[in-house]
Amino acid sequence: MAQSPTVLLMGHPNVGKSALFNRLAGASISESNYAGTTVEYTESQLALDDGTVPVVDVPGTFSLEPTDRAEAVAVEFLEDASDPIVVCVVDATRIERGLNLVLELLDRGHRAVVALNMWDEARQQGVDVDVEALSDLLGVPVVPTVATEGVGVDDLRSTLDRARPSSLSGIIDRLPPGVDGDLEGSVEGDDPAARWELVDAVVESAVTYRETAPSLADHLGRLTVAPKTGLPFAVAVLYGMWAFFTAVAGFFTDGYFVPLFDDHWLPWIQSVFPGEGGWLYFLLVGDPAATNSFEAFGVLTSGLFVAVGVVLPAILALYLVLALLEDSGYMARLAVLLDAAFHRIGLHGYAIVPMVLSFGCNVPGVAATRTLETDKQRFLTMTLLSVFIPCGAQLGVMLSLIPQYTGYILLYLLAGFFVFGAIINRLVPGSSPEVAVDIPPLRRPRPSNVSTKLSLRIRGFMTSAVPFVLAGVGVVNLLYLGGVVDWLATVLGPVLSGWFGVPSETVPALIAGFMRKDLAIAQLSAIPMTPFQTVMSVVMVSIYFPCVATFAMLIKEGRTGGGVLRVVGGALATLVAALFLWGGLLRLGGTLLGVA
Amino acid sequence: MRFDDAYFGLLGVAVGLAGLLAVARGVGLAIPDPQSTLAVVSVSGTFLLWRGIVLLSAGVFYFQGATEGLANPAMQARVFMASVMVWIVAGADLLGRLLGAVPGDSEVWVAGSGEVLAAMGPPYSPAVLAAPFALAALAYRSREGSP
Ligand SMILES: Nc1nc2c(ncn2[C@@H]2O[C@H](COP(=O)(O)OP(=O)(O)O)[C@@H](O)[C@H]2O)c(=O)[nH]1
Ligand SMILES: [Mg+2]
Repeated sequence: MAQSPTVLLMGHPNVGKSALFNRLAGASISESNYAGTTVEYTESQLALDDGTVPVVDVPGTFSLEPTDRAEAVAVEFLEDASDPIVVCVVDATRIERGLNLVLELLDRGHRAVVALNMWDEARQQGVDVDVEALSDLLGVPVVPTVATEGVGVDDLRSTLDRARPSSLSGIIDRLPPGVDGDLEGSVEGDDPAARWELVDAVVESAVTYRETAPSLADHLGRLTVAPKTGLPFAVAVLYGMWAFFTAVAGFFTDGYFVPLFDDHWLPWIQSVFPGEGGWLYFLLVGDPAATNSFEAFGVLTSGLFVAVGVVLPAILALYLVLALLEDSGYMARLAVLLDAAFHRIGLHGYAIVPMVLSFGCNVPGVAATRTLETDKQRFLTMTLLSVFIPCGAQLGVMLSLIPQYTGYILLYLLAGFFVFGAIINRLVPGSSPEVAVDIPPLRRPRPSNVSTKLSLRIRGFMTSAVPFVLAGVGVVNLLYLGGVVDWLATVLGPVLSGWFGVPSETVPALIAGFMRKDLAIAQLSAIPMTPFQTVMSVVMVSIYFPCVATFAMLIKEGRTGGGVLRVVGGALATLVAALFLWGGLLRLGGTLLGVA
Repeated sequence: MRFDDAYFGLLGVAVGLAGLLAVARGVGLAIPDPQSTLAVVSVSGTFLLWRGIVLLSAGVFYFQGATEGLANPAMQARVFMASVMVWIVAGADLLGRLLGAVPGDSEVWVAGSGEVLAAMGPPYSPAVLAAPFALAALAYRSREGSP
């Protein structure tokens, strides 16, 4: 063996590479039941009998001719490592396409071991693989594994030192007579068609398929993607997700954090913090006379309250449901179901993930755009959702203020999402590649993986988003101190009342919307208005500025999504356009109908 | 006719009608809440229209399953999915009540068991009432190996 050769786990997306990595390295990284979750790679140490070697969970790749970012990363790994041991992870239920990648790897002269993962599901589906025959044919070790249960992982570890290269012509020679057809020696080089023929020949001699009746999960899976049955089911799931979110987030925020912050933390810090009246006091504590944590506006009062009391419970509830939906394989089905609609605005079905999250809280929604392929798609999604998707707190207040109109407001905002999406899609340069959404099977979610995923994401949120939210509150306070906010209020007042026909008293509410949009909507209820003006101003607050937490996230994610200036500037431009056009259109409609 | 055909056919009619009522009240038709005549049921609350749509579709799926014949595994799956939809709506309802009641008033951190029990008591939404009957669909699952 060479000086600690790197072990690379390679294979198609969603075949269980991360699960296998966790088992091999004793790590816990998140596994997802949908393709394309691992764009970043993870490296760890693998303990062998004679010391440890580095092991890498390489992003999924369909072939060695990369077509997207994740695949390019995968191929780079292969080229940069010196004589790596490649563990080619194959989904045994889809053995053909896996073997195609195996052959491609062997053809390039890499030392390989094949892990036939999902062995349990293959058995259930009547896929019988003659492991010995396959191993003899390929000329490399083949180990059946069930990564989620740890079955076969020890075998795999102990065969690593038997990894070896193998040539395609050798494989052809070893094919049993009768199946080699007209392959003789024709598969050298990069000829995909010939390689597929060889795959067929290998499968023919080592794999048999038994007829099995489709299981209940198979039937259910089909029902969830057929529009007639799938759409009502999707409504049920989304409603359930929202209801779970409001129950859990309300439990923590209204049940515990509001009293905790308002009755204990706020009075305490107001009384012990030195220098009342000074700028530092204003910045960190805010209004000394405030009686609730929202109105205080200090970094340690409102900032901490928003970050910990409001957003954290929201994240907990949402990420839990999301992890369950992902692991069960339902999220990918929802993506397939909605793919056509999203295609019209240059996105694909997976944009549903950030969108669904945003209905709870825009902060994780913006973070979730990381899974989208191109900068353009990320920009589109971030902008559209921070402008048009009201968060759970907003929805809640809307429902209590104007329950009879909430449904229509939602539809109006969703229509805006798609109309502006289509427009921005035309205006913004960049590509929006099609992805073949690969539908994974429906599975029962595994608690251990759900909890790993949940704790990873929450930890990520605490360390990366919370500081941004606190900083955001600080910046707003500085703007207040500098008089910028008052200036904006005087300047914008006439514009808003002129264009939208709402009283200028709504301006402070709009500014409050920067902290928490739901409370802005609540403030609106105190202003006497006609029903239309109420609807109008609620729509405005919804479209209008994302809250400070979302704004902070836009800045944070913008750094990796095409540049902060581009993302935030573009989002602001969209926002202003949307506010004036989409809000103005509503007023026009109201005027025409004679209700404004 | 198999027993389960009749059972889910009837359940489908009941759930579907409840869904229809919720949809009608959800879009604002002036139909009284059944609570006025039948104290244990109440068709009201947030997102009534959407919950109505879910129940109505679940009712239709049950009914389709029953009329096409539940000897067919594809129809069993349809009935199973309808049950999942009923459970989602019912579960969301009960969870909301429970978590809404537990923090109690501003005086206490955890409400007394009496108050929590009162919050969990009747009237119930049609989904909650249908949820136990929907459990029968689990029978289609146990006949298989683990999925
Ligand atoms: N039944 C079964 N499921 C598995 C197995 N290995 C992985 N999975 C599941 O398949 C999904 C994809 O796994 P993941 O490790 O994220 O795949 P990756 O994209 O290749 O990294 C997850 O839901 C895993 O829990 C296996 O051997 N058997
Ligand atoms: Mg992975």
